[in-house]
Amino acid sequence: MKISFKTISWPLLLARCHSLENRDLWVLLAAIVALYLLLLNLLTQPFDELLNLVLVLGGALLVLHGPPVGWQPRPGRIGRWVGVALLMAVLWRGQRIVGYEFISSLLPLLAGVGLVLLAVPVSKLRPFLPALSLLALLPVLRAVESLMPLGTLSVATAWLTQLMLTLSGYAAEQMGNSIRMKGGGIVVSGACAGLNILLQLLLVAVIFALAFPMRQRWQNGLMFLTAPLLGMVVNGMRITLLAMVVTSSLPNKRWWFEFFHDHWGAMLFSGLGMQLFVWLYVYWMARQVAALGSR
Amino acid sequence: MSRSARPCPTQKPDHGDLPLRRLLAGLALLPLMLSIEKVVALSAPMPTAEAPDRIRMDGYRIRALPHSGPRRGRDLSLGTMRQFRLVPLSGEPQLTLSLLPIRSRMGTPLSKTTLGGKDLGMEAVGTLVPGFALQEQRLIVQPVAKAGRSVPQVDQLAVGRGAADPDGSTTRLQTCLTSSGLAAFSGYLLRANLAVGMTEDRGSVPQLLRFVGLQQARYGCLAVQLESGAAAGGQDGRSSGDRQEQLEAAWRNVRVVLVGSGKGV
Repeated sequence: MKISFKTISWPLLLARCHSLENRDLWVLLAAIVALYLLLLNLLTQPFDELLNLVLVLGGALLVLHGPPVGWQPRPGRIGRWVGVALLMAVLWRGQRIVGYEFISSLLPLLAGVGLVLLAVPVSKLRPFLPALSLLALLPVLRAVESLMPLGTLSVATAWLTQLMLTLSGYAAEQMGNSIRMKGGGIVVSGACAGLNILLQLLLVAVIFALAFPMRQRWQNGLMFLTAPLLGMVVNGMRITLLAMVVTSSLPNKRWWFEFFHDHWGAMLFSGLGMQLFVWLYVYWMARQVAALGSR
Repeated sequence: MSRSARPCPTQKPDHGDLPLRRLLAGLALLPLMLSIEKVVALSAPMPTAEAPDRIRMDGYRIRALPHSGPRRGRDLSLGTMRQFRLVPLSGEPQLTLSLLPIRSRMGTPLSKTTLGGKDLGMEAVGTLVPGFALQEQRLIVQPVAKAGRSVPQVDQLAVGRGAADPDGSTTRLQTCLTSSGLAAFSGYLLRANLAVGMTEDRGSVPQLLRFVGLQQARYGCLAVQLESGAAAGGQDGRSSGDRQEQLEAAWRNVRVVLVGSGKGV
């Protein structure tokens, strides 16, 4: 069907806006604040942080399950002004962010608390706690990213890479965080240690545990352990590919190296890790459901 | 009673000071407007310190040249560019010294993965200021004597030529002096130098001010270019090596003046 701007009647649109209930306005405000935070991250933060925010906002939406029919925002007298103050503070601080800053990871949580205080009194916060907990994971992830020493992880990734290269038929020698091959080598350090992928998968594991919990807690616990291991394997595959590119005779190998090292190619592996995790989770859940049905 | 003021069946009348409806609508408009402002007006902060407007160096007669005004940029903001003609009293060819404070809104190893973000680095300056474009670029290091440091420290310099200079000639020397007192050309080393300065700030008031947003992180440095004079076309009978040596010697003198006056941005 062809949509034309002529079909939009502005007076009708305005009348619609006027007829919005408080509940719709609150949802609209939450959506606009979420879009603002996404835009802020897109413009000023590294892509990994944007991806984390997308995951967390999506997860928060999943665990909220949507407001019940007939629900209307009824904030407390003081809570509403605290909520307004928090949202104003978030917007003020957001406008001052121009580059990579820790506080950008704290803003979604503050905005979330502000929005919740505009919806319910403090005594009725409970239904929103899982969503707020997910938002609280962002600053935790950022702190872990910047504080965790990467030495051991780099060496473990190098070991995994050497194993993968050997299995693929390449002669490779590992020395600490370096891999030596015939005709070149690579050093695993910094972002190449794969902490980002590992934490992103852990984040997905937490979101799934909150949104679609397994029957037994230990099963979710096992998935928490699986997620970082899967992240390491996927990152190991990326480093293996980089090592192969370095030692290859490809005419434009520099371009390929940069693509998988710095650009969207690195994101492909992040996506692959998530795909594998979701598949594993859904597969296990489906087996549980099938087992229940057969009883 | 107007339509907007009529309570709907599932809604109790609001008991706040200001109707919730107006509050929510007003709050929803604000981030919309701020988003537009953010997209349009996002820019790097201006450099906090300007280059000196006059300098004195032993062994040189120095004349100030016209300067160009500051320029705010999306990824890199430029302060006032000051230029000086350096005429060595030894009779060597004259040099042109350009000083340009620069400041980026980026400063982490992950900067380049940010949408459109440019790292702090002299290569980025070369793309913005034609006079700083450097061809056939070669990186060299110069040891720096710093009191109280057991580990030897170095300045990273780049030498090369301007676009109009003949191939193979060395007519320009460039680097960027940071607040740590060390100079570097590449963004990677500049970050490391700046990190030293920021580590010294840790736990102090500036860090708190940065956290609450009252102060921006100082991803800035003073871009320095030394350029051989008009006779740099290879017709003055001097080899490329001689010119590089003269540029490096001049840098050592300029460094003493700039670091001494605390002009590392």
